[in-house]
Order: sequence, then structure tokens, then C-alpha cells
Amino acid sequence: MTLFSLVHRNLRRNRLRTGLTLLAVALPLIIFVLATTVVNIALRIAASAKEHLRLAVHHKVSLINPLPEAHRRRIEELDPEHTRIKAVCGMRWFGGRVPNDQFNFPSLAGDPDTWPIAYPEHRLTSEELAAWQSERRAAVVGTTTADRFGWKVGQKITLKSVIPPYLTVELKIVKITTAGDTRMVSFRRDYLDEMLRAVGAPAGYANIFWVKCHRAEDLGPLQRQIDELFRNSPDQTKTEDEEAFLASFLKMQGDLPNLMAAVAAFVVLVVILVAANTMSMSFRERVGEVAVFKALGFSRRAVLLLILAESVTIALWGGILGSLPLYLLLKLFPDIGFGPISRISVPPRVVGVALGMSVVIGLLAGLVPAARAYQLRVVDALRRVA
Amino acid sequence: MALPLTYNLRNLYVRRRSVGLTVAALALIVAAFAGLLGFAGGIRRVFDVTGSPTKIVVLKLGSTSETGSAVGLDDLNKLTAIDLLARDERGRPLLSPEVMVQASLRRRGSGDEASANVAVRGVDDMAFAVHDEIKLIEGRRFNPAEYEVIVGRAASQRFEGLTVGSEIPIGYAGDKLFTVVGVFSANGGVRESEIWGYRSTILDVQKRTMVSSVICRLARPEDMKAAVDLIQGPTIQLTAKSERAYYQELNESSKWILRLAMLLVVVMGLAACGAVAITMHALVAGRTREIAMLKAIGFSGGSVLAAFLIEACILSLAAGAIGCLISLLFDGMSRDMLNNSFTTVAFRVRLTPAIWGLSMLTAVVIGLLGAFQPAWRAGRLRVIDVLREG
Repeated sequence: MTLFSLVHRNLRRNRLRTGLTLLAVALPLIIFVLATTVVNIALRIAASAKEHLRLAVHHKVSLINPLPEAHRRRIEELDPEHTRIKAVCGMRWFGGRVPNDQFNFPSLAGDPDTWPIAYPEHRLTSEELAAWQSERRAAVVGTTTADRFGWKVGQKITLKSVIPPYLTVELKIVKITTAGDTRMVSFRRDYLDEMLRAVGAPAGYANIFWVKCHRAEDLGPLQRQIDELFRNSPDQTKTEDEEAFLASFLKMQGDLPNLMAAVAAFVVLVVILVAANTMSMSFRERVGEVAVFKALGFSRRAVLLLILAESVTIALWGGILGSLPLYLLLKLFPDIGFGPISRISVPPRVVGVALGMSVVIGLLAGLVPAARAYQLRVVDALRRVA
Repeated sequence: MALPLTYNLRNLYVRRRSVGLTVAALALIVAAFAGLLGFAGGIRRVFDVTGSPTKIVVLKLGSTSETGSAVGLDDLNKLTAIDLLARDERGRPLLSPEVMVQASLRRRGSGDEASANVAVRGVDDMAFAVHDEIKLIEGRRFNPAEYEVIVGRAASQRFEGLTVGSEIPIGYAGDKLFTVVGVFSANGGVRESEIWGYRSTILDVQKRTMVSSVICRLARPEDMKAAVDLIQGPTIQLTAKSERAYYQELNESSKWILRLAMLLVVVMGLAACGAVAITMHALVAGRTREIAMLKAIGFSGGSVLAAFLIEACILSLAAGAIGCLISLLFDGMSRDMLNNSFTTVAFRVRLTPAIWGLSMLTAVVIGLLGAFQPAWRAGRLRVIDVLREG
């Protein structure tokens, strides 16, 4: 009889208890998987934010206060040979909504010439790039928003702003993108400014200037240089790398990743307690059996292994039940959202983490009974009357 | 006849290891339950107490929040003419034009660079008549002749530099230093997360001319619909919402946190049922002969069932009590979140006796649900079968 089949026989001995333990391990692990997914998404966004080599320059007081577009030229003059700065792209918050719809999505107008350079992750093809450059009303739309309204490339859409002067713009979709925030609608700032001027509103402002750099080591010095440049102007700036910018933005939204990390840790603790309970029970019932095993010549290490294997097996099954159905469910129905994240899918890596965590849980839960089996004296155990 | 309580206590003691682990798991779940309720309650309370049945928030047509709204003088004049408004002793309509801007402030004790967007509201004396929930609890009101502000209690506790006597930078360029001269309470509502200064001064340092909103107080709450219809109608053409409706919509973004909390609680509660069931099964299984004996000497199946349910109750009450003690760690924790107006609302995790009561009740319900099947089995044991196994 192999170790594997012995363990499974043992687990089948008290099916009810094994079933209940699986339930009590698998359910919290579902939460663990969801929580780690959120943390994983946040980490991935932060990591990709680093790769993008972008600095966010915004008003020192608040993102809401716009900066004059002349800031762009002055930032570019810091590096006339373009050895450090690839492009500077001014973005203005538009605050658009689809008329008569409550769906909230970010909409920003970017400098037409530098936007494609600052955001290469959207991978505009040469035709799409040509369309963006020639069509003043061009817009690039994220998949979440496009799917929600059933928008297609080439379609004309209308957005109405909820901030003064409450403009309505008509845009033409040139690309539907899966990169970045997939709710985002990006269009051209020259078109927005033209609309603003038409109603006599102040034009020529941006809420953020994204400074796309060539090399990571230039980010820090540039950040200080830019803030120094505007220190004595009425429009002082605060420059952050994209990671810090997103982190403080996330923190303002309620700090979901940290909350989720705490939940995940908590869940693991509860599961360990439940699994430990089951293991110590099944060990108590089988003290005599363990003694017989030892008497038959099984080594101390063998009985230790037997108990640990049983504990790990049950935790691992719990982990499989807790992660795989959820993984498959979200694969089949990808439109399930979760708070501010419009759609989630469990990355395979998170399933791996959950299974690895199950093994750790199993080991910890089986530790005490396994140690007791290891130390068990055959004589004592056999003498005891159950 | 019922079995004595000491019988239950001793039984639990005999199985103390298993019982202890179950109590610990259940206690953690109860603590999380209480903590999440306190968190959710803290958020909800802030927005609930803000909604007065007689106040109307008036914004520019098409705006969804004060931050993105600009109301002009001509609009203001039209509002003044509405005769549904309450009036002060000098006969002036209770209507407060207010400007809403933001200041970047660090959170207390956070130590990191990330700052929060705190609302700065510019008002005049009339605001204190319209917002009658505002009470000065420390210091004095701001003097219009100076760069002075008063701050809400929650803001003062959550953000750095908001104590009486300290100075904070406000204004478009963030370069004007305002002295904090007072702290106010607002019945625990949203405005406690704000900073208030004199309207003209705030408009000036912010390089603005138009106010963000006009808050009106009605004489009678029954007139709410008529007033909202009038303001949204063809003559005035502004957006009007009852204060309650306005803040409920602003708080839309926090709803998912409440939903998430509920999801966590339900799933963990189910898992806890499983954990209790495991232990109770073991308690029953280890004592089948004893149960048979009890029945043989005359205890009924019902009293055996009751005995096990009582044991589960004791176990869950212990877990509930420990869980509530652990949850004390979360009590008073200061948190904040951004609302749809792009300003930060501070709130405290508040654990109330009601929450603790509910947590204890939940613990007992979980315990009884988990224990019922094993207890039922114990009550149905047939003496003859058990004793024959022997």
C-alpha cells in the first residue's frame, strides 16, 4: 500500500468530517483567491507603471487645478536634444458621460502629437495612427466602456461633460484598446480647446503633463528639476513617477489592495485553525493505530510523514476546490466586476499561490499531531484504554 | 428532564483542544464580522446624518457634484425669490452660496507622501443659519478680515496640521497661509471632514468668481418636491436635489465596500458552520455510549438534543465574547475615502453595543446551525444499537 492510497483511505474513514473540513477550508480560500487577485492586479499595474517610464506633473495643490499648456514647452526645454525626454503629453480631464446614462468612466483629452508616443501601450497600427492624426475628433476607447455601449471602430459617439462649461463633444472611434484602464476614453486636446473657445471658456490648460522618458535613471533627477523649474511660478507643480501617482490615487479610493492583503492573511489564519482541529482529532482517534505502525517497524519519520501527508492532502483538496472553480467561472464569465475593477480574471499565478498556501496550511495544521506521533512511545499508547 | 449545565461545561473541558481551536476560529470570524460592520456603519452613518429633510443642494444644470459646478450671480438672484424658503428673524431667506475647493493635506501618522484631497468650503454668516447642525466645539468663528478658517472635527482628527493655532496653505497656488481658529462638529456628518473659511477670501485666493453651489433651507419639509421642481423648471434651470439624495449619490462609490463586506461575512460564516459541525460531531461521536447510558436511565431524546445544542451555545458565546474583545482593536480606527465629488470624507470605525449584540447573535446562530445535525443524531441514538456494539 502506497503512502498516497493510505492517506486517502484514512480521509475516507470519516467522510462527514473530511467533507466538513473541505468546506471550511475551501470557502475561506475562495476569499483568499479573490483577495490575492486584487493585490496581484494592483502589483501588476504598479510594475507596468514602472516600465512605462513616465512622470506625472500636476498642480501642487490639487489635480483639479489645471496647469497652463506653456508648462509643456518649458519642460521640453529642460532637454532640448531629447536625450532624456521622449515626449511631453498634456492631458485635460473632460468628465464625460454618455447622455442619460450613469456609467462613470474617465475621459481625457491629450496632446494629439505626443499622445501616441507617451502611450505606446495602446499599439496603434500605422492606419490607426494616421486616423488619430488626421481626424480631429478621433478617440481611443477602452474595451470595458466600448463593450458596455456596444461601440465599434469607426462609430460616432457623443459625450456630455459633467463639469463646467458642460460641453458636448462628438467623437469618432479609431481604436478600441485593451491596454491601461479599460474604461478610459482618450481624445484630442486641440479639439477640446476648440470647443472650449467656441463657448468662451478658458482653453489651453492641462490637468497632468505626462513626461515620457528614455531611461529609468533619469526619472528621479527630472522629477526634482521640473518641480524646481516651477517653484516660483503661480502654478507650482508636484511631479511623481507613475507608480507613486497611481498608488496615491488608489489610496484615495479606499486603499483596496491593503485591505485585501489583510483579509487574505486573516483567512489563512482561520483556515489553519480549522484544519489543525481536524488533524488533531483524527490523530487522537488513531493513537493506537500509530503505535501499531511503529511496533510493526515503521520508523518515526514514516509516521510523521504519514500524518503530515494527510494534513497536506486535505488542505490541498480544499485549495483546489477553493481556487479552480472560481478560476474557471471567471474564465467563462469574464464580465463579472468587483468594485472599482470593472472585470477580473484570476491569474494562473494566483491559483499557484493559493495551492502553495494550502500546502503551507496543511503543514502547519499537521505539525502538532505529527510531532506527537513522532515522539509517541509504543508502550504508552498501547497500554492506554480508549 | 434537562441535563445539568455543569455536564456541558465539563464535556467542553474534556475536549478542550478541539473546542479551543474551534472557539479561536469562530472568534476570529466574529471579530472580522464586528469590524466590518463597524467599518460599514461608520461610512453609512456619516452620509445618513448629513441628509436634512429641509435642505436643498442647488448646482449648475448638468453637474453631479459641487466640485464640478459653477453658479453665477443671476442664478443666485432667482433663487432668492423663491418663497418656499425659511427666513431668519430679519426676514432674509435662508440660502447659502458656497464655494467648494480642495486642499492637499497629509494624513496623520501615515508617514508617506500620499496626501488626501480635503474639501475647503467658503461660506458667510448665513451658512451657520442654513446648516443649523454646525456647532463650534473649540475656539471661535473665522474673522472675515483675516486669513482664518475653522475645521471639522473628523478632519482635525484625520489630517495633519488642523489643530487650533496651526497654519495651513490654501488657495489656487497653495501659497496663502490660513490660521485655524476653531473646530466644529456637524452631528457626525460629511461636513465634519471639511475646512470652512470666509467665502470672498476663499474665492479670491482660489482665483474664482463663481460659487459652486447654493444650499437652501425650506420652511417645511413637505415643500421639498415643489421646490426641487421649481428650481429645475424652465424659469431657474438649475440642478436641485434634497441634501439626502445628493449625498446618497455621492456615496455611490462606497457601496461596493459594503457589498464586499457582506460577501466576506456570508462566506466566512458558512465556513464557521462547518468548523463548529466538525467539533460537535466529534463531541457526539466520542460519547455515544455515554449518551446511550443517559437515555437508558431515563433522559429523553429531546433533552439529549438540548444538551448538545446548549454545549454549542456555550462554545459560540465564548467565541463571540472573545471575538468582540478582539474587535475592540478596530474601534475608533480613523479611515477615509474619496467620494464622487473628488473630496475625502473621514470616518471612524464605530463599534456599538448593537454591533456587538448582533455579532454575539451571529456566533450563536452559526454555532447552532453547525451543531444541529450532530445534536439531532445524538438525540436519535438507539440505546440498544449502541450498547450492543460494545
